Parts: sequence; structure tokens; C-alpha cells
Amino acid sequence: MDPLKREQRLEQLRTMIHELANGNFSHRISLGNQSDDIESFGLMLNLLAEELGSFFVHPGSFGERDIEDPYSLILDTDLNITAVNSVFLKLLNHPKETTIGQPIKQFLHSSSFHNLKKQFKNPYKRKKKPLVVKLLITLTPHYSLPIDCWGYCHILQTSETSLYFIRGLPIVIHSPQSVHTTSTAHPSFRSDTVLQYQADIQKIRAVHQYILEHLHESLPNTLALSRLFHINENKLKKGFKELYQITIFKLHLEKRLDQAMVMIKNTPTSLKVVAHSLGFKSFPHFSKVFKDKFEYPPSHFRNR
Amino acid sequence: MNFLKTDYAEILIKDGILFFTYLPIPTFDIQLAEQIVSDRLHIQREQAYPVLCDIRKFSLPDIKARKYLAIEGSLLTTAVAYLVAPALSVQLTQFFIRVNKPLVPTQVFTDKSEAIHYLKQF
Repeated sequence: MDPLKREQRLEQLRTMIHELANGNFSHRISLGNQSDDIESFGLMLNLLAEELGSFFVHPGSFGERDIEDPYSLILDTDLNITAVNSVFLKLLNHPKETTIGQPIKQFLHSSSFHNLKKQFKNPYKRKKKPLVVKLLITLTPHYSLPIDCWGYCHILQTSETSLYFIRGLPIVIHSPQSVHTTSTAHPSFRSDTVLQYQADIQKIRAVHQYILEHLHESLPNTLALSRLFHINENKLKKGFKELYQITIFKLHLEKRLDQAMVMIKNTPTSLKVVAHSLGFKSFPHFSKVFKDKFEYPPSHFRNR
Repeated sequence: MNFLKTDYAEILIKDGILFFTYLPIPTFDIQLAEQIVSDRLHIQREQAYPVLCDIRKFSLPDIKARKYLAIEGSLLTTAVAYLVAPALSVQLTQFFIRVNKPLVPTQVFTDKSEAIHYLKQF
């Protein structure tokens, strides 16, 4: 093959990977009629883009810095829990010691358990076993309301048996004060969202990046930001909150305080200079918001 | 103090450039990323520098570490030049720059003198 043509095709693959990593699942590689490895990778990446587009609770939040960690667990063929991560234990509100080895039935709503059993049973009746099964389950935590979760189950084979690896996210409204609260409105689903178009999501992600690049100064107001990024102001405000579960100005504040903490702990720079360098107009204001976030005033963390 | 050696890196400040050379690291996670930024800031005192980051021996940071390095890792840096071995690590570093988006000008080089030449502008 012409080396130039080959390089162009490889560049298409790289671009596709970068687009996916930036959360743009609508990008596609234009495929020709070659039957080589590049073509097959292109096809697989197109398929992956489709899969990812439906996988995440909100595709726009994929890969972002503040997305919640997923829960994960492993079940054996008898549907007993063999391993869990800390997020899952937190959701169940249950200690690890009395969770491992227990049947998953104990922690699921009865209808969820029956659905789960059905999902796992059917694949083995077919000749071709699927690798991944989509799930929607309701957990029944200790002393708390049921929590709806979506997830994917990966069916893993060992030399002797099969294991079910389940991974996903709760369908929740994130609240910093509480661990998780169940949502009846499912605000992240597309039917209820202000973010119907990939182009809007990309603009809001660009605003997110703009905030990170302007941590040393005040932000323009939302009207000015919306004009800068060619998006309706209301859509920007609501969409940003929907995508990141935090307002534009709160995120700007939180990130500046995180940077201030790193500076305070690791440099001899005076507290006033740290505050000023991160765009805080007055030290008392900086000190107050810092204490609100970290419980102690800035001086508490100096030289510790 | 303008030189520091730790279990994971050698840090040297010379001719207005901070040379950060990674040693082989088995697990590059968020805790290590925090330690790296902390050590770098301590040696810099309050001065910002262009940084030549030699990553020819290092292992890929996990996703949380990459995100931390992209933001907090940009503190008190004016620019970063990554010195990489050819082939795969070039792609991995390009991925870091294009996806995790460090907050200061950043480029990838396979030649040390070209990297220093780039940093001299900052």
C-alpha cells in the first residue's frame, strides 16, 4: 500500500481514539473496502463508539475528572458474591465480612433477582455465549431505600468454571453531603435532559476545560461565557450542572481551593499570596471558603 | 538545594530548567502522583520553571494519577517537554496531552537537545 495512504488511515484511527477519550461517541471512521488490519481496527472502533454511547449514564461525562467511581462485584455460578469493591459495600451499607460468600439474592429486590437469574440462564442455552449482558437491578441496602443501578455483566471463563463480573453506576442524584440518594426522576437520562445534542455536550466540556485553564483569575459571568462558547446561557447553566453535578462557579471555586491546598502544603508562599494568586480578592473570604471545604483554616495545613 | 533523588525520580534544577527524570515505577497511582508533585514543589521553593520530564523508563500512570498530574501537576510550571522513547510511548504521551489536557504548553520530544531548545522560550 502507498505509505502516505497508510499513514492517513492510521491517523484516522488515532483521531478516533482521541475523540472517544474526549467523550465524542458520534465520531466515526469512514471505512473503505480494504480487508486488512487497519480496516478491522476501524470497524471495531466504530462498534466501540456505538457501544460506549449507550453504556454510560451520561455519555458527555465519560472520562471527566469528577465522575463517580463505579461499583463492581464478582459472582460465582451459584450467584454467590465472591468479591466486591468498596463502592458496592457503601451502596449496600453493609460490611465486607458479611457480604462476601453471601447469595446476591439477599441484597436484591426479588424482581431484580429473578431477572438476573433469567439473564444468566439464557446465555447458556444458546450455542454462542454472549460476552456481556446489560443489567438493570435494584439493590436493597441495610436500613435505607432501595437503589436502582444499571450495569454490565461480563461473563468470564476460567479453566474450570465461569464467573460473572458486574460493573456499573447507581441511578442517583449526587449529593456531597449524603452518600447516595435515590432519584425518582432519573435526571441523567436523555429523555429528561437539556443536553440532546453532542455539539452542546462538546461546548460544555470546552467550558469545563476553560475553567481549569483560568484558575488564577475570576471567571466571566455566565452570559459572557455562553457568548464565548456560542451556547444559550440557560442551556449552559443547566447542562453544566447536569453533566458535572456542580455549578460552573462552584467548580471554579473547588478547583482553586484544591490548588491552594497543594500550594499551602508544599511551598513556603505566604497564605495571602496563595489566595491572591488563585484569584481570591480578599484573604478573609479565601479563609472562610477554605475552612468550609477543608474544615480547618489555611494556616492549619502549613508545614504539616 | 537543587537536586533531589527519591525512589521514583531524580529532580535537578540547572540553567533555569527543572530536569525531572523518572526511574522505573511498578505502580503509578494517585498517591504517587501527589508525592511527585509535592517533592517537585518543595525543591522549587516558590519559583516556576519550564520542566523537562524524562519518561523513558516510567510506567503508565493510572487514570486518576494522569488527571491529577494534568491539573495539580501543572502548578509552578511554565511549560513541559516530555522526553520519550520512540514508538509506543510517543502515542501514549500524545494521548495524555490531547485527552487529559495539561494546563501549560506541553510537547513531546525524542531528542533531549530539541526539548531543551523548546523550553528555553519559556
